Amino acid sequence: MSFDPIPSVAAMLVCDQIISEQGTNKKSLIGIFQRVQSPMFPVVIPRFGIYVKLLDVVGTIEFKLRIVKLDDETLLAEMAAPIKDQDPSQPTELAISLQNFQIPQPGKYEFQLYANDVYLHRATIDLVEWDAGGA
Amino acid sequence: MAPIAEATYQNFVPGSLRLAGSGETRPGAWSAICELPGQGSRQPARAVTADLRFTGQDAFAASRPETVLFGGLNDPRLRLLKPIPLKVSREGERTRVSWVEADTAASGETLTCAMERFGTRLRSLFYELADSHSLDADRARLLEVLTRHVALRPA
Repeated sequence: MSFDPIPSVAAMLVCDQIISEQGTNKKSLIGIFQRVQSPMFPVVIPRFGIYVKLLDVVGTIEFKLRIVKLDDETLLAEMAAPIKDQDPSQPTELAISLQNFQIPQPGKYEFQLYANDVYLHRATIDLVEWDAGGA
Repeated sequence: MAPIAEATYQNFVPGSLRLAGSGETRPGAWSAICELPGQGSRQPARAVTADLRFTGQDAFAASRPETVLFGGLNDPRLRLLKPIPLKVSREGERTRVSWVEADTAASGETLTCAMERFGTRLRSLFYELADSHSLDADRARLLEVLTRHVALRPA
């Protein structure tokens, strides 16, 4: 699959929640974060969102989000979302909401965005083991 | 020494201030209030349902391919016209990506780290060559390769 030009990422953020206002379709990002503390692993993150703002989205593009554990670069999960017939003069927003996502171990995890298998951008979060009983 | 300029300022305190409304004028206050129409995205919201495919916990798939298509230029002044094919290799603990046609490479702790550094190198190389007034044959050929993939974004 080919396209012209390559979409360009203006912003990519991880947050607790993405609210899309009915009527205006404006997005509000609540609780932008890059670090999660947990007393135990594996841990389930009940809800979080990934917001991406893109330029130059023309025609039909399959966006792919890959969730990768960085220390050994293993792929935890992958999702694909086809976007069709966008107005190229306007930025495109992806608001991805995930629920009950299980993280196996502490460490850095990355959300990698691809468009038609072309790497575009990444956002990283750090999962930290927190000793609740420690000083 | 006499002051060369005088400034006036106003301290704001917590609380609220009522601005003058239509038909009500005060010196220094707005004489009319313009009510903006509703602001919103010009594109309708479209919900797309996508499946999240988990890889098996016991057999995580390696995400270090042998080649990758690069599109992460991350420069608002530039636009990538077509993806750049990168060869991926390991250098001890580090990952190296190389664009064979342009003889340009970068390395990092992870694949995405290496690609981010490659993007930085590509941007500086493009600006350096595009701003040069005289290029030798090798650098002119490199600029020709670059401009097949990278272009300035129209203002």
